[in-house]
Amino acid sequence: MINLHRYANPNQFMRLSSPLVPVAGLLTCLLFPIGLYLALFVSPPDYEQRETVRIMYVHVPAAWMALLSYTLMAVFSAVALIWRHPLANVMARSVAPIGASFTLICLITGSLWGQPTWGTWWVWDARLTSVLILFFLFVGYLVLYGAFDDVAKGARAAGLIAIVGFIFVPIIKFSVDLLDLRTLHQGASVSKLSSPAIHESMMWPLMVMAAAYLCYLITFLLLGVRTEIMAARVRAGQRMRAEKGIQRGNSE
Amino acid sequence: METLNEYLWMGGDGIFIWSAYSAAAILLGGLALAMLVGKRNVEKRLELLGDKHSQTRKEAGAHDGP
Repeated sequence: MINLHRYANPNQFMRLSSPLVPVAGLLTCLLFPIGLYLALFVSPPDYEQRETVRIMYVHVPAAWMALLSYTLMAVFSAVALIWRHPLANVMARSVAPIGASFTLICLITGSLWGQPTWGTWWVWDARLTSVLILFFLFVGYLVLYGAFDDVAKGARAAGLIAIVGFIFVPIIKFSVDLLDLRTLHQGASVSKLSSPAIHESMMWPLMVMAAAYLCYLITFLLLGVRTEIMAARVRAGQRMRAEKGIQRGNSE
Repeated sequence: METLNEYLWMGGDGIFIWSAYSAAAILLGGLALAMLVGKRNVEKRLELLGDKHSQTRKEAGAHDGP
């Protein structure tokens, strides 16, 4: 069985992640131009949505990554609360701003897609409202994490929010397919793997853009965790220096 | 030139499409930049702390010496 605590060691993490960050970063830099080229120049316009279908290539992967980020944040928070995994809180904290950005991209691009397609920027239906709540959960997590002087207390409180808020992930995923709710949002096109309701010429650009978004998430998650570990070392070093200064002052 | 304008116009939907791509680029680019700057700042502070630490050790070594 894999000993997760072995990989939870910050030194071990720094050593293992060191070669991964440039590889993931390079893949991000390669996949984004390819994906954008396919999305903007190769992919055909839709017979119904015309050229606005091109918004799908930035909107849908952002929605997928927002849900993945929230799932990761909730899982890391649960691991931190249950097993006191030393790096789990740092990982949850690092994925939160990335997830918040993906959710905001999803909301903005969705609104810009909605206006020419549905004739409205926003509707208070199950899918859109639950994604907005997801964005507030990310922001709430970040605010709560930093609201306490004691970092451990902040992490615990924010972790609870992340776990409780996880209820919205399946609600968002299934809001247009399973819940019989009035919505303007279209149903799943890609998740039906046996017969996806999307043509190959649109599927490829979408998949490449999704891979680019995923590589971006991996790159900046690892980078964020590495920065947090270094920041913790700075804080520990400063504390040691301050304590030494006090001791020296007392002995004099 | 006309072809470029036509392409950018995207059948009248260009404003929505380019705004969506711009918003995504600004948010992803901004976050990447903020994280890279944050990392650089922490690295600098860590280096500074390391320099100060080795300096303190040198000073302590000089006092301890004969």
